[in-house]
Amino acid sequence: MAAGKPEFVWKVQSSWPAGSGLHYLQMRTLDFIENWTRGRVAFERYSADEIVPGYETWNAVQRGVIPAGMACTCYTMSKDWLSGMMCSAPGLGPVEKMAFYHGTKDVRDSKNYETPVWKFFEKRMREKFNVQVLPSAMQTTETFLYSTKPINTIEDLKKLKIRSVGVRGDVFKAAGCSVVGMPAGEIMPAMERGVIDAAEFANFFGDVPLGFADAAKYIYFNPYSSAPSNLMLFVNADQWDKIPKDLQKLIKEAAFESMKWSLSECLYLDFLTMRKAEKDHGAKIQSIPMEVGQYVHEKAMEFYKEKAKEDQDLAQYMKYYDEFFVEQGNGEYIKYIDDLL
Amino acid sequence: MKPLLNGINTLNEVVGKAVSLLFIALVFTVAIDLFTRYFTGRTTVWAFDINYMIYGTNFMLAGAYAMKHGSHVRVDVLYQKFSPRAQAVLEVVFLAIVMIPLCSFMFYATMLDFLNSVAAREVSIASSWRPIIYPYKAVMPLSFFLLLLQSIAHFISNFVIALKGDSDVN
Amino acid sequence: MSINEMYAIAMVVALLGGVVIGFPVAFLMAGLGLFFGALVNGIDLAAYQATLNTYGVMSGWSLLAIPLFVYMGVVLEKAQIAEKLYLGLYLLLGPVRGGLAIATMFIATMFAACTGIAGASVIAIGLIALPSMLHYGYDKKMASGAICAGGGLGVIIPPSIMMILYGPVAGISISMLFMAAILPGILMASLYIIYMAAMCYFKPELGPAISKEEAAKYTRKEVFKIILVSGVPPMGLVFFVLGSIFFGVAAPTEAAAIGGLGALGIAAMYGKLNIKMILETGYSALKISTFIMWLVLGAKFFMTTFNKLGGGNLIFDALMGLSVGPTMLLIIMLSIIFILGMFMDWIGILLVVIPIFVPIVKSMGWDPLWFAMMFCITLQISYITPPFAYSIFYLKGIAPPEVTLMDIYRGCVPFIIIQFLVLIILFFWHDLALYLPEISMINK
Ligand code: NA
Ligand code: NA
Repeated sequence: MAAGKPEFVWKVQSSWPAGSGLHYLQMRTLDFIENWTRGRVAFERYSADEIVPGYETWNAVQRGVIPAGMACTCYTMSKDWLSGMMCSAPGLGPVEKMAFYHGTKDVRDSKNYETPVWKFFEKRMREKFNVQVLPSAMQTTETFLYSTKPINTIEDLKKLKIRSVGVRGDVFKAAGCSVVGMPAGEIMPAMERGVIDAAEFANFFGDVPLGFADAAKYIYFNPYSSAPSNLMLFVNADQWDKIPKDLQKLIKEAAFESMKWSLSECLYLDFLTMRKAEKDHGAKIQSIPMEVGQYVHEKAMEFYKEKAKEDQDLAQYMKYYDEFFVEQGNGEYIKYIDDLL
Repeated sequence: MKPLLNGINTLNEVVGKAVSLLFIALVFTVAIDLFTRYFTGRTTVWAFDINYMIYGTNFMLAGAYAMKHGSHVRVDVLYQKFSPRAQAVLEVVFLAIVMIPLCSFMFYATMLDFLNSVAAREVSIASSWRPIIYPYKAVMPLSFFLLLLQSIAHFISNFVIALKGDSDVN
Repeated sequence: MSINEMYAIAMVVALLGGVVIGFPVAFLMAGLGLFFGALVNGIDLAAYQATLNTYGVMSGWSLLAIPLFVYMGVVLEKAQIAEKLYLGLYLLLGPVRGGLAIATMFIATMFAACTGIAGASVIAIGLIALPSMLHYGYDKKMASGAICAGGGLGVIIPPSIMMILYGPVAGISISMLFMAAILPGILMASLYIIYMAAMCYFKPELGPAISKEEAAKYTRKEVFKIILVSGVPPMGLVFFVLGSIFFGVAAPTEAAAIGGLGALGIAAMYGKLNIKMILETGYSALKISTFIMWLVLGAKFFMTTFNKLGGGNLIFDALMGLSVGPTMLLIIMLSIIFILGMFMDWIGILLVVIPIFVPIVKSMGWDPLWFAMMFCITLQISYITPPFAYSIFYLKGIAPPEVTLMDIYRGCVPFIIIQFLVLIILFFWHDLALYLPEISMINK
């Protein structure tokens, strides 16, 4: 690995705090790229709030304040609802999602970025945010709910006051729950004091250090409608266009490799944390009852179909979705493998 | 000069008194949400966004009103000991090097953000209600504009005192 | 030392200088944050960050409690509840030696439980209580000390704006801070009362009992009625507000709104509720909550740049690098707060110091809730400690001319000693602060 002087040095900020698991995953992607390009690209690394607040990372890159950022696409929902759909929308598991976004018959060349749905996504992000998007981490499914009350029936679920945002919040709303917005720092005290009954936040291995397993007695996963979040590296389009084609190709390959690596790492971390949560915190981790899980999945699908009637971009996305899952049957067989993924 | 000063003072007095009514609105929106939740077990979808919009509008637009009434806290232990003329000189310096540049710059910066927000048809994602957010973002440039006007008014009246030692303006 | 660290130091020097000259603190902090931010990061990023900071304060959910609690306090003040209550307690306790001073302290404690700001309490209680205490021959030093110390209870006994601000900045739940503050607050008020009762018992000239004739103007039944009518509703409101937080019915923000509604109700009960009163309440509350919110805004501008320049780390490293034990480190930190409290507003201190101190508290393994109480008590002490003492200045502003600044200074000394005593008790006995929060967690 004889690294010469880098051709490009980019400042990059992630949208998570320095000590967090997600920040660690994001930094590994940068390692992948630096190694894969043999040092032709180098990164000056920043964590959330070092330059701008974490949730502002997209806007900062769009405005050219920093050349690159790392975040999940949910943060852009204020300007583009479909971006949230590309992230942790309930429905597809992470492996399914990877297959849908990047599956290619041409395994000899890197055609992973040329699926219709990815090209559609890439084009929109360029037009709307002036960024080139690259996958950086595909995560395990997010915890369905941290709840202070047991959920045994659909009625139990509907009675809950849930802190949820993004597409997941929309789906809970469509499923008849009472949905509250609330900043991350307020969730724990609100749950402790009974202001809300339940909350969703992020991945298990990231949530537990924040105390979610302590405040909530019941921790549910939903194997019938997984919701993994899909983290991105994004580069200001003007900066991206400045670099040579061969280097672009190397960066894309490296990002893709890091995405695959991250899933196994997340799974490992989740398992480790589940064990620790049960042993040290007495957490009760369980699957949501089948009827509840399936109910949420059906409501999610109904909601997407309904919303697609007024949202052309979502309609286009759902068309690709149907092609992949219905016409080509690619997603048909996932149930034999493991839907939780 | 006098009509200008009067105009600015009246404007900020009216704006301040108008937004003071928002306290009552705030008490009620928060209470309605709480009662709804307590008695029906459900929360209202709008309360989260409406609440911060009310309180943000309330204190931002009143920034100039509070300045007019000298309510922004200052440590006046030394300040009180100065002669009225020395106080006016200090005010002029403060307004010229801190306040007026600050408000002008903030007006420009927040206006930029407001325009971006309009262009993107930005909505709030703080809750699942998703109201459009740019009207609320307009509160920022508006507030700094009012504060700039009030600073200019203070600057003029203090400048006169600093020159003459006393003033009939204001 | 890097150039950035020199900028950070320049920011602090300019801030203290400007504050002492008498520039408005909020705008001074905003201006310094913006100027140094632009110097280091360029105009574009500075503009962007300033907007983000502004919008952040405008959409800060936890800050919502500030306007609501201020509003509740102002409504209670405009309903003139304290005056009536004072009359009742005066008639009840007047015949006892030092009775008026004790009554004043009761009122101050009640007031503290209604409002969250020290200044307002000192002025209100001073206006009601000082003239009548002087009239009945009370020692002016003790009377004024009692008012300054009693007014300071407002920031300790919940609800307290100090804790409403402290919570989000330090990442602690506001309800927990409220719970933690109840016992230290009550202990402090009780010690004040015990001290004054004892002093007057042994030296009646400090606080003579009122004459029998004076006391006989009202029958026992009338006295009882006055206390019932003027004392029970506000007391009930306070229990209702704190209780709804304690039992998890409402978040602190919501409890504040209920408190506001309840206060309006009480004002209506006393026949004080009319359009004019409602409008004027709004104007007063607006001036107070607006200056607090702009101070939050200014501090945010300042701290964003200060931290980016490594200023926070500089202080962190300096403190952690001192080769002293944890107790000494704590004393140094509290001394910094105490000294800053001599010439800066408490809100400004809190917003600037807490983000720097909280990591130290964490790395020392101290309970953050306990440290919060140590912090608030220290800041409260600095508030009545000469030469720069806000409460004293407020009282001097409204006191009759025969009460000199020196009288008030002297009168405060015993109360300052009691406050230090509470600080020392809390230092050795953490449960004084931590007991109620633990109970309320079990109770949820
Ligand atoms: Na999420
Ligand atoms: Na209080």
